[in-house]
Amino acid sequence: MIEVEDLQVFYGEGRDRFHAVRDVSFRVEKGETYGLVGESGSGKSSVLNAIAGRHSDWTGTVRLAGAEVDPRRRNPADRQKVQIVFQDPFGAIHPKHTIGGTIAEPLAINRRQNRGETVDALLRQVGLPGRFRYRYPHQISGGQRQRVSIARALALQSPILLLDEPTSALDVSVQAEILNLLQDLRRDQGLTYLMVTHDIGVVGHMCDRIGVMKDGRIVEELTKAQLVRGETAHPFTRELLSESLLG
Amino acid sequence: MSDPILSVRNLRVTFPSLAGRIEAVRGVSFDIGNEKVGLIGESGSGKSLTGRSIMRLLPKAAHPVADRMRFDGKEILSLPEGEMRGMRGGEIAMILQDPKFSLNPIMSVGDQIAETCRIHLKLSKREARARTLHLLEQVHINDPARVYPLFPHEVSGGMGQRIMIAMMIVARPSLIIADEPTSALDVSVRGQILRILDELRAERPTGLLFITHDLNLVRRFCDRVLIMYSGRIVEELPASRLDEAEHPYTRGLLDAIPRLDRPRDRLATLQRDPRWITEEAGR
Repeated sequence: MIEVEDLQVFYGEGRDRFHAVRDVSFRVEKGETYGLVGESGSGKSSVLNAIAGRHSDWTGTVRLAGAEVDPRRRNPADRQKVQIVFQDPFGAIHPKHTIGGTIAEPLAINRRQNRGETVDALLRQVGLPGRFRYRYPHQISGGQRQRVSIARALALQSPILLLDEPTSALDVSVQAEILNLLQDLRRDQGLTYLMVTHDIGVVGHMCDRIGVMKDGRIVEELTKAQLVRGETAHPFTRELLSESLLG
Repeated sequence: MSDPILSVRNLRVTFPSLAGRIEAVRGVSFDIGNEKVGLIGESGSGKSLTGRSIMRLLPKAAHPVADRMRFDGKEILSLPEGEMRGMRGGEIAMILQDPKFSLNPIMSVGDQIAETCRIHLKLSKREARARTLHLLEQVHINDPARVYPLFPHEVSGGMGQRIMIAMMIVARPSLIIADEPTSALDVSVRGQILRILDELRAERPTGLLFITHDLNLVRRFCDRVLIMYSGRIVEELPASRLDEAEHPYTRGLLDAIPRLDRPRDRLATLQRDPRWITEEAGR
């Protein structure tokens, strides 16, 4: 569903040009969840932004649902294949738009019909009551706001969701609810997830396969079983594990 | 336990509201000795308000009362503001989550530490600079002379937090209140910051109140844990025995954490019981 080959991501111009992601290749099958883990600055969000089309200064090949995307020009069909859910549910939603307006925006941009009914259905899918469409972001909790971000990401029925630290701003009890919701949605709608996080516990729970990033490269790829058994070859992965594995 | 460094009995923090007074902290009692005490709770549980009450750094509208809030023989809540100001950053220090908001953005980090040295230790300019470089070294900043002239936006989160700690230890506090000091940091940097805190405590007896929502961190780092729910402490136990917690809220939190050593298809979610709000902690 997602195929990335030889991805190089750059920022800046001329002498300040920074090579943030180097030779990154991986593939995610349909229905799979792939996790990118690493520290801040390791390039994991840069990979996500290149795939999402939020950053255009990259080379290499990115194929989404079989079709290659152009770094500089995305056609509307490409754009509808992928949606993103961000870490901070406070920053990701417009504070002066109602919840209903927020969820309807991608529908309006793409001139979809029956927007009212679709918003109702989306709210139901993410477990929020229909009356929430009239509320504003400051009137609901952080967990509910993250549900709104997810509803908006589902609006165009995109087969791929990119999840950038979707629960790290939430309390553990709320995190569990959001992770369960994401699992249910993936199973019911056959979604494919690419998830960025630094929480090894979350990765182990959600992801089928994991790419460990350091200094812009994927230094190791692991299956969930290997991660759970602690079978890692790379010292950096072991360090990540020992810092986060607690018993 | 010998004489505690801080002793709190029946702390209550109320806010006025249109519907009468709202009690955000509702009768919290605890002692802190020369130990690391974790204060755990979710957003809105009153854990940060409890920490801020000790510093008397509450929003203007908040009204704190306590039967006892004794630090170093003094009743904190009835101290004159002038004396309290000397205590803040002196005997009691605080570290917050994001150094970017705590540091002055238009003053170099070195000058900020030096200013603290001049105020609290009455050092000359030159002495303050020398002391600052030494402090930066103490928090494991390799090249203090290079870091001294940097501005807060030029340093990383982990470096910023180390600068905050350097500033905090100027006056050798005997009580440190750390409110989510490592939540914004990478795991490896988090480890470094915790090790620095441990080193400081090894030098002299210091009480540490570690406010966080990260149960795993508390389990490994702290000596004792207080679990707060809806303005009350609902359970208290040694950190090493966190897994034996009995209160259904603590149990619920523990079960909600995804863990590599206990893989599950679905995470347990917290089923809240209205009785948790009213019943007293079992002790």
